[in-house]
Amino acid sequence: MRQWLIKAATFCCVSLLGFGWAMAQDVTLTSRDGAVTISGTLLGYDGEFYKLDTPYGPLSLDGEGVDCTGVGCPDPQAFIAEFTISGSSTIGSVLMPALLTTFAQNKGLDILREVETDARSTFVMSERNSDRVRAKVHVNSNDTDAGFHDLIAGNSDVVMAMRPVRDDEVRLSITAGTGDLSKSSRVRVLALDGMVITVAPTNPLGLISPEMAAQIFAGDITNWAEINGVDAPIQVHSMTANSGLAQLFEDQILSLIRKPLTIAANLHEFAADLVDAVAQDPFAIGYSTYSELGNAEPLKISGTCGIGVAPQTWQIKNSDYPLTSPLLVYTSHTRLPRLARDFLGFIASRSADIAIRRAGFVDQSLDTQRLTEQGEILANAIEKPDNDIAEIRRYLDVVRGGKKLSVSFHFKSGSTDLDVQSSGNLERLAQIIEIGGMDGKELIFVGHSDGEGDAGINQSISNRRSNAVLRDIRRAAKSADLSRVKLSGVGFGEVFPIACDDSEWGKRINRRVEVWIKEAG
Amino acid sequence: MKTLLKFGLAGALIMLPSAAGPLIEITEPVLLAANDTTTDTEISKFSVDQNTTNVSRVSSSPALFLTPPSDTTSDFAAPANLQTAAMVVAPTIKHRTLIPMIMAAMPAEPAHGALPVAYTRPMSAQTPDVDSRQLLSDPNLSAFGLPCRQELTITVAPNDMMAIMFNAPCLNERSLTLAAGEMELSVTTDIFGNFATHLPQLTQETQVSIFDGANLLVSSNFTLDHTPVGEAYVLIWKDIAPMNLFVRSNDLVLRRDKGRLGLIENSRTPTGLTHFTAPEKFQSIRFSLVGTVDAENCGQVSKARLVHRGNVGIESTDLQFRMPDCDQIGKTLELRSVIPDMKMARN
Repeated sequence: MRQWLIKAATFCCVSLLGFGWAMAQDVTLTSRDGAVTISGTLLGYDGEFYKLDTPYGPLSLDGEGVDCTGVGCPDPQAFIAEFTISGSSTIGSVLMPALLTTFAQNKGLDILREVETDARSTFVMSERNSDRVRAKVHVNSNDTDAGFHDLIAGNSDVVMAMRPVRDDEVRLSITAGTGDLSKSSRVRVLALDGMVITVAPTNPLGLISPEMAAQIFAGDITNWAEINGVDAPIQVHSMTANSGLAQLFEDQILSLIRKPLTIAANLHEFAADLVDAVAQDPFAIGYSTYSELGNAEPLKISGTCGIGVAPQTWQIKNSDYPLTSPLLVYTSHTRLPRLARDFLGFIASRSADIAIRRAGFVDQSLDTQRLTEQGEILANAIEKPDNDIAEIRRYLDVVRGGKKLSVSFHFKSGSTDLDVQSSGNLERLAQIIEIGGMDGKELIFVGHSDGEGDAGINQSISNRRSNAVLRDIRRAAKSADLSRVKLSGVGFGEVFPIACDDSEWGKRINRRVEVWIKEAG
Repeated sequence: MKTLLKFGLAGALIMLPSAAGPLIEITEPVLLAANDTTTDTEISKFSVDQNTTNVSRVSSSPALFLTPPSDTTSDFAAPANLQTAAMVVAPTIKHRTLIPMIMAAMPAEPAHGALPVAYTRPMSAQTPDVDSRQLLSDPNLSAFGLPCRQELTITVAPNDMMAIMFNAPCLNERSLTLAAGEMELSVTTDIFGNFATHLPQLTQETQVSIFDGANLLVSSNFTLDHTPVGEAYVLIWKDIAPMNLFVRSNDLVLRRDKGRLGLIENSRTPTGLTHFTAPEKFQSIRFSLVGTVDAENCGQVSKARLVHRGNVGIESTDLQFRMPDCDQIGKTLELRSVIPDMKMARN
């Protein structure tokens, strides 16, 4: 596409310089009824729209509404949608090829992967039993930094990101004329993953607090004996600094103590190499993602109260795991070819969920759990000092007979605004309600707070949060017939923690609204 | 091995030039099938007419075939491209004995004693007792007087492999396409129109077909009595194979199970096809493609198909690689992200 534009622009310049404006009028677009005719130089054609440089300035015209005549007219049948996806190799090496393949299959297209290097492939989609190429998708798998850099430099159309865009990248993008990357319309959650702290299977350590992990990776704790282990030096393994995973680790763990990674760390370019090295060394510790655990052992994340949260699919999907990291895609500010837009729509659809799961990542489809599977949360509530058993009974009365959805809502610090993943959850749930997927059901939005402050105030906050989500769902499900689904909200304050309240991350995951589904009575 | 030997013996017979010199070069069966002590017995099974001198010599002593004929006269007018063969067989072998002898070279025995599941499409009746000139002018017979039938034989082989044998006497030295489920590869028949190969059996039922260009020659459904299990990869190169499939794993179970890892270098599969089947229990297995840039592959585009058997069935991915340019000869190329790792399912 870009080459096309360059060619068109070059042609335009050549025409203007060499032959004068009159000679540059290489296409004429006429409306179907013949009432309107406009001539100009074709600047581009994206399979849908003609972009013309006319005496009145540049114009874009819908190809379906006009007939094109003149030497410059493109052949709509010969149009090849071409776009570039660039960024994290965690996403680009397995997940993105799987998604492109599934998308092509769903479209009834054949797909050929042209491998240029380990980090760069082009996926050519063509019509079955025909040589006609419909799309070429270039996938550059480097790191998140490079993905944003490519987008801002105009070298890619979609970024695969392991982390949200940073403020400096937002500023750079605006300066470069590639738009505001902080806008919610520019980002969507592709899948979920979780950062996982790993040790060898032979290492007896079962859980770790983020603060302790930060001290180990910063080099403040250097011997296992300092954390009740054997007297042996800790071998720290980390990703190279430019990887999105390393940056995520820095943001989520090392930032807790505001220290950099120890210079003694063994650095790896690939997460696979990192976990393989850790798995073989009982004195090693490293980090990776839930999707790339290899043979290493993931640690539960805990606080001082002893509650540990394991990196498991349900916990990641529910954001109950504190190091859950959504895999994000950022899109160009310019309009992409229709097939590219279709692909972006596909990756947010249920059809993509299977490919996401099979690639080892966590999809965003709705799962359910019965009350009997909530043992750990109920145990936490019973063990929590000062909890009123009557509140636990009230909770049981509310949720008994129902199932908990694998979607929960978390809030940005100090606000009732949902975080990125929860915003996506809201949209998905609203869509399901709109298409009648919840007809005849009762959805109960159950609010919880952290344990900081007065219990009565926390009860009130949890009520407000459940009502806020309820309101947002009603707003988002604009076309839903809400008479066919019963929506209600209830709050339980600080009674049901899923993590210790002694840290900011623990409080954050305790501040939540969970959703229970029942048959409407 | 037995099949190879049979092919090889017959091939040696046919390809021997009339001059005495080169014959001495091919004097021992080791060229055909080393350490195979059952050669004669196996060949004799295919001797249709044991009383015929030449055929019985095949079964009793393969070395006899290496003796140059003393008489070069012949009433057997072979086509130009088969002149060498005619020169060998014509002096001492009458046409009545020719067909059984050639039959001895055909892969007709099911491998490993399993029952063959074969599809035969006879193109003409076997009529050995006719004049040799009639044989050669009959469009339904091959240059060796064999009926132009096409026979596909598939048998069970160990490790969930299938032994595929194809015989089409009138399609000698022909490049054909063998398709077995999602697997598709080019094969070439020998001078008798035979080829034999082993392919991994990815599903309980597999449709095996032979194509000549776009024309389907024969096709057969082959069914195992069990469902093959385990995650598996098959990598099939279409032309040159510039890279090899490598497997890495720290999985202790896998490292103990060297036999399974050994499958990747299976010499019985055709050149350009490698396959790997994971054991039932494993945590993580990594794959990479490694190749050295050389004068033959530099700057060349190679195509391959990756077939994967996973939890959801069989999937195939078409791949195309362009090797680095010739100024990088000697450089080793490793691609780690093309073939997804096998992982224990966690979700």
